[in-house]
Amino acid sequence: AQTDGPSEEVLNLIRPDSEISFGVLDVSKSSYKFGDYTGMHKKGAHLNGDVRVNMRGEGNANYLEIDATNLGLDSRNFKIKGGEQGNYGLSLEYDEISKLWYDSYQTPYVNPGSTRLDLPAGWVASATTPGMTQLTGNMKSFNIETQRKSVAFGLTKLLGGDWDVAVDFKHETKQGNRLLGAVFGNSGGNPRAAVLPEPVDYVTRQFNLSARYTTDKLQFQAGYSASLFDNKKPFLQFQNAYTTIAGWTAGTGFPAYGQIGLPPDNQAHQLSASLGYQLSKATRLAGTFSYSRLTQNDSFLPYTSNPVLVITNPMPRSSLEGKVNNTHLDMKLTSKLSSDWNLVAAYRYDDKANKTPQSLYDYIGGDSTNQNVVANSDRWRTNLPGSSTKQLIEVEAIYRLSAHTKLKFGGEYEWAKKTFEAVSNEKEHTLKAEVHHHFSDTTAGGLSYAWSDRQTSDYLFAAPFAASFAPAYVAAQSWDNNPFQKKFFMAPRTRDKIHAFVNFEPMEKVDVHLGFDFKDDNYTKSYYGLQDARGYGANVDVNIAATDALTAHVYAAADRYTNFERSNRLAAGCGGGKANPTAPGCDWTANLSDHNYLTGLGLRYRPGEKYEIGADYTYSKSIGKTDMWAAAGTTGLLPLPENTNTLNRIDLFGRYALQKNLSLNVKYIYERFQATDWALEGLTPASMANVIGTNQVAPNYSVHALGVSLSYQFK
Amino acid sequence: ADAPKAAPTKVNLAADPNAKDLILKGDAKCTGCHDEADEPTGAGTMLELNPGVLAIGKTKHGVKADKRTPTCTDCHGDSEKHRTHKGSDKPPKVDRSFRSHTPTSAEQRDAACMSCHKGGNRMNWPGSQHANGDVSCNACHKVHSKKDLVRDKYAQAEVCYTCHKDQRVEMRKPSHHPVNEGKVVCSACHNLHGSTGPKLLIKNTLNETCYSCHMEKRGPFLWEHPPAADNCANCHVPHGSNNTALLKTRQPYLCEQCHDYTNHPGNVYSGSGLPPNGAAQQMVLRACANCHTQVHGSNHPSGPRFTR
Repeated sequence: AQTDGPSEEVLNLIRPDSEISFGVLDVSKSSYKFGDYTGMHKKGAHLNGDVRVNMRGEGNANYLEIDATNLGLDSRNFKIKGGEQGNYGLSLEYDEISKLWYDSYQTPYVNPGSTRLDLPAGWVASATTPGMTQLTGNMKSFNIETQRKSVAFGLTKLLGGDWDVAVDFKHETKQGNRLLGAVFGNSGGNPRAAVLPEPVDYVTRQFNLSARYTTDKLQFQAGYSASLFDNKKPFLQFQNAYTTIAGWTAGTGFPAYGQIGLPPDNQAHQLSASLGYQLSKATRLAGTFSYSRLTQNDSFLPYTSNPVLVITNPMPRSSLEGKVNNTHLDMKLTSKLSSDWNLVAAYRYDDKANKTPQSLYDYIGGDSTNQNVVANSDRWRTNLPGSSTKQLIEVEAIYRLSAHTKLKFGGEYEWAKKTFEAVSNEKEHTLKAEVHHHFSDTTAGGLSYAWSDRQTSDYLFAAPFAASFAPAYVAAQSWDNNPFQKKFFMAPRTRDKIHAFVNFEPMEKVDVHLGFDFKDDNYTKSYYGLQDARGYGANVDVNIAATDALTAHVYAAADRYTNFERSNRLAAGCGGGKANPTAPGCDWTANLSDHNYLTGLGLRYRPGEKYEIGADYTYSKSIGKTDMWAAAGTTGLLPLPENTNTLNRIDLFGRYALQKNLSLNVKYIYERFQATDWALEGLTPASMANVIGTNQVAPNYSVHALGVSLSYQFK
Repeated sequence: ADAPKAAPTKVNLAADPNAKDLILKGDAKCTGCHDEADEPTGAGTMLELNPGVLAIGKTKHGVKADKRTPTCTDCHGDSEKHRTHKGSDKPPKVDRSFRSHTPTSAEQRDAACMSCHKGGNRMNWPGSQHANGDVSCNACHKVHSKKDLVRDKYAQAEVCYTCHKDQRVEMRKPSHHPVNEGKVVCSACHNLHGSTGPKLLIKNTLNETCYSCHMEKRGPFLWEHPPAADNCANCHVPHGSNNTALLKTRQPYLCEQCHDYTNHPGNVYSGSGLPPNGAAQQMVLRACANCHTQVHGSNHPSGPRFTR
């Protein structure tokens, strides 16, 4: 009997333990794709370490926890928490996330990463890229990546009388570059472009404060949160690599500069209150109300940065004074009507009131032309600050048919109102049914089906066009998008969803899971546009606990998603155009399908405390197919190659106890990735006459990574 | 080879009335289970069979100085028949068992947790998708483990993949959020304990959830792109895609699902636009975004066509 205090063995089982690991990780080859998010993108040896401390006071509730991972890599994370459990808690976290976009990007601009991009001395401008004789020789590599670094602080404090408060603050920077298309000239006419690094230098701050009251019967929470976005680089200027071309105003070609706006500073502030109340032993009501205000009032950039261009009509305002008020309300009633019946009823209300003022702007297309002041110009545009109100009623009944069978029935009705859209009202009904059944102690399965039908008000295809363009232009053009095409996100639609699964144990210590999913979105009333979006998925998982020391798992999954769309070229050559937007000779379709296969195998062997080993193998393949069809007589229709991504990865790891508190850890990763992408292959900087290329290639690599570390465990 | 094991000794199991608590107030009722000969036999005393239960001492639930922490019977029930059982045969089950194939319903198991963990992030647990699906707290959380994997950045996703197999496939696609890499957790976007928003999202709407990390796309912009302002999922998938930037499908075809006009928005783009047959500027590299780059909205007064 344990009358003399716990034994050493028992104390080991009870007392929190801590561990510090330090070692070396060697990577065989530099690869952005391999190191994306993991920080393992640089070839060579890296010192690395992890720390996990879990300390608790003897006879009191004080605690200190430290969790630090990948300290030597760009994916490092460090978190420390401490306090007195049941009284207060403090936390501090530092985190880095590296998004490594491209390591094959090249550009002729001499100072990528800056906010004013210059072409090399001696640049020979041309109307098209093949005439730029200095282009190919001046292409220089520049890696495209961003890195987030965040510091977060948190405080929780239990107050008397069932109250507690929580405060947290997070400061994050995001720096680096991403790609953008920088264009001169106006869309739809005579554009010339280059794909350039967009400097990213963001600071975001998030602050949350909440007070909570919690009793058995009533739970209440009120809070305030703020999120502030600050972009320290609000524009990008870039030198025009092209000569002045037909349609551009003189002096807008090389060496003039263009200017593009980058994301504006913005803020959001929110007040919220949540309530949970136990109306009776069987019935509960919960709900949340929140009101938030989004504002954006960054100073506008000028219509053009090019001083040679003539501005006749000044801007109507110097900043947007953008303001959106969001109101949210939800309520949920749950009730256990009897031992067999449960009921859930919910209501949700989301209102987005866009209070941004509308104004009339006489814009300049791509820093290339003087302002067009005529009344029927397509350059007169009014901004459309769209608002919406969305509501949802949902009911779900759960019936326990027997000890082994459970049924669910549900329905939803969702309706929405929108402004400045082709559709002003939407409503969608959904019906759901589900059955779960335990066939035996070792076999269970389930099947669910959901059907939805979305209907809309009349599709006023020209409504946004008429609201934004000048009346004289609208009168002349009538519409700017095919009247027979419906935009899929507000088109009438039916949706079917099926989910089925079976779990069973064919023998002791072996679990098998089989699953199947199907989803089909059918845009029943869209003559053109997205017609059908369909997906299938199937998977099998097997987990085996061969012995207490040896376990294994195997899984395989496949899915396929297909988008089928139909469109019309609206070209005179095929008998179409604005007068005949459904000319059969101009029709074309695209069937876009993605096929994905994933297989994994894992083994773990831990015969005791002395050592453990494990291995994982992962195979993943995706194939993107694009099948085109066009009406007879369409010239130049050729098949597209497949886009593929193939991953083979092996992870091996082991741990060996050198001494009681000292372990040797080894891990090895082999990853091979092969990709093909028709959007990149075979392109040179001058392949596209009107866009300067980047020499990018799809990732293709084999990388070995070997890590060795020592771990010291202590209490 | 291992020596053959001796047959288990017949013992009489009983609670030791003199046993002291090991971790929790009153846990001796359970941890004091022994064989009356006081000889460890491996035949079935609680600590011999389940030494792992003591790992609760390494967790917050094992801090006796916090007056809120429970004892064994608070979660497992008084279990009198189990505790007072004598004899060498298997004792009756505890009142509330959390093992697989337990006769204790998910609702009863959850009640043990919810007796303390109500309010806050769990205010919407009753009636939530997981609660209604009989996914009990202990399906994801391991209370008697020194590390609750679902609360670990690097391990959480594997816990979720136990049921959410589709997401495991999607997270392996070339474009994905860094979940498998341990930099973003499922619970960064989803409140698995119930939510006011769709799909158990942590915020009221999908866009509000996305803006938590992507505030630069929040606006409001002078020139809004309606599908972006309406719902990020109109063009993006959240978990993984074969297309860059988590796009639902490839450009220019994604854009052409909404845009059909004279000139390029309605053109048919096929293999004739690829090298060596050609290089259609609306099709290769960034496709439409070679020029229309500000697809989330532009605040430039000359940006109504999202080129500025």
